[in-house]
Amino acid sequence: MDWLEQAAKLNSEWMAVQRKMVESYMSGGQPDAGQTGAFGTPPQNSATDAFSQYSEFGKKMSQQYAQFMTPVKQKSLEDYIGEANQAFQENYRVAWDKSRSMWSQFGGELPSEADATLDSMMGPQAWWNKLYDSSQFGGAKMGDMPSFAGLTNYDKKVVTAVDEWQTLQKEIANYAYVVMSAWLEAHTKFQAELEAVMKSEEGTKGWREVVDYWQKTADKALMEMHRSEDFLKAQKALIEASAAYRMAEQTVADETNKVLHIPTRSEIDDLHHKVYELSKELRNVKKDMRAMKEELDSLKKAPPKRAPAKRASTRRASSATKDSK
Amino acid sequence: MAETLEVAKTAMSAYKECADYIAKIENAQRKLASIRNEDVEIATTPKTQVHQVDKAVLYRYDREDDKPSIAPIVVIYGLIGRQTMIDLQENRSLVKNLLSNGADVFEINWGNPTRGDRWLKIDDYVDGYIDEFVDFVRAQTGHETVNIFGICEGGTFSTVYSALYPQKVKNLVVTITPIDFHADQLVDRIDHGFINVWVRNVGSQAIENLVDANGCMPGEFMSYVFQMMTPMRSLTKYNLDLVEIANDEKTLLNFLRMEKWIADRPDHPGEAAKQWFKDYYQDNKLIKGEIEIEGKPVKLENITMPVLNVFATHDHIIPPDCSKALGDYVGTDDYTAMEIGAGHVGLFVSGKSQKVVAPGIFQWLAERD
Repeated sequence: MDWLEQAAKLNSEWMAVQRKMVESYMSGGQPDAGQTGAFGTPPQNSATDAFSQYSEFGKKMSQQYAQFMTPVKQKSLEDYIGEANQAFQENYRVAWDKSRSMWSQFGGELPSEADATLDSMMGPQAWWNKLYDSSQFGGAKMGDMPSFAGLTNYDKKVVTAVDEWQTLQKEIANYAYVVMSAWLEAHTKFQAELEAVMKSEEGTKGWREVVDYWQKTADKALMEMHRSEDFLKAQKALIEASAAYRMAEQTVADETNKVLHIPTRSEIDDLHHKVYELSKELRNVKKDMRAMKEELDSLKKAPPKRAPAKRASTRRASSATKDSK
Repeated sequence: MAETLEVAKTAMSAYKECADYIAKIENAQRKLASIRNEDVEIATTPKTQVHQVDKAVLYRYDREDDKPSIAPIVVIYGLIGRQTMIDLQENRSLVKNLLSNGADVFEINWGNPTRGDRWLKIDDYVDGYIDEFVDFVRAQTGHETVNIFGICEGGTFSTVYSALYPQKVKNLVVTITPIDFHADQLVDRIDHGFINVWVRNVGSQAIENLVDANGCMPGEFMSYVFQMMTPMRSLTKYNLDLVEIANDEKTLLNFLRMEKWIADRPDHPGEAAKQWFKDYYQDNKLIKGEIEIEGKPVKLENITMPVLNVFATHDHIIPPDCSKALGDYVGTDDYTAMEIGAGHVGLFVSGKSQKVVAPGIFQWLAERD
């Protein structure tokens, strides 16, 4: 079987599955028993089940993702990397095995040497370990180490940036989890109420009405979530983590620029500050001059005053007398 | 058999709806493909640059005659967004409305602050740029005092300015302006006051860090914040709303003009952003009398000129109660509140408000000229 034929077959199967899903959705009927898809068992019954399945799938995914990203601070970096390494390898291994079996389907069995070579080039074991092997990643501990005068500070800055990046990823995952929960809540509410409407005599007046209702339901759920304690906590943590990472990143960039004889961000910021202060001083001088000119103009416009010098001095004298009493 | 027929009917009806919608999408694609960016014009009312300080530019709207009916109006917008909102299109232009009544309108454009402007403070805007522009207008027009017209954050700047320099302000008009930044808590509404809630929640250190890390408050960040306030509308405005309105060229162009205005969101200078979010939003210092500009205390009771406060009932960005509060703190006896049944932007651009807002403001000013 050549690869074109293989691709055509895959395409045709995919189309058949899509058609079946649409038919099942439209009629509210049952799909073939035992039919499974890439993400497990497909919807068993109509739109309601489709939402339910989707909700469950989404929930699992977000929980797993959050779990996967969360333990940065609770566990050691090595444990974290080890777990991530293992999870990645397991997932990658499945994909790798599938691709190899497909290869053998249309390309025939590979000679063992080629197989081994491919494995060493593409197999996850070959490069993932080298890239993120915890022993080679020992530098990560430098972030917590005391500074040594004889060692370069650059590595420590890089490691701090990596640490902040990981914290940021964790906070992104936490944030996504909170947001995802609100979406799921909206789905659940929507599917229950939609089911009730569909069972009622009135039914729905068309897809737009259903969409409008979905928008209203989701809007309310999302706005409530945006005020919830979980969201506010996640949002704050995300903003803090994002700022911390940006600053750590700038520290590394500044250090690199210094080595390459390029002005650093901090130096330019200082320069801007100087320019700002000078401009401000100039503005203030101009402002004072404007005020003086205005005063002068008003004096010029004002009718000349008589200056009864004697009376004024008498008043001053009398007031002084009054004060002294 | 009857059941099968019913299912088939439903399926056919669903397919028809689907086909109709696809036809609408195709139509929208065709319409959009025929429109160029230059077709979507905003801020077209002719004006002339009359003064510039750093990046801040003062414009004067062109007039056919040189005898304005009232004292000059200086429009002051905030640093979040762009002042072009008041001249979005010819038949929905606050500026055009004011000009047609005979007003002499000046307008400040803050330009595009970059990281180089990160040190600018609200002090610089109020005591520096605004004061210089006001002096310029006074000198240019020969008026001792001018009408100050503030919008949103610019309304707060205008309020602060009027408290510092009451002798230069004839009348103060503020629109959709926050004064009591904690008043969002007075009513239990889930759909408004998100900026107030979120800014209070993150604390002052996060604001410091966010600005220090970016050198400013990025315009994109504020856009994202605004999108989050109306989550589903943000998600469906292109794939549903735009498709629905594409048939009507006039409505489509209105939509695209609004998009053009929203997309033009400059960065907010860093130090000014820190002050705005910490001193004003978090600590609510304005109504406490704790704001200082260049060391001078800002006392709202010094606002003794007539004040017109225009706010929107459905404003989800500046809750009406945050604006209404102004009346409790100013020192004038001539205070007018004008509530408009619109949203934050709708107050300026909705068809309905064209007949109310600009004519109402002009009449109020004319009565006090």
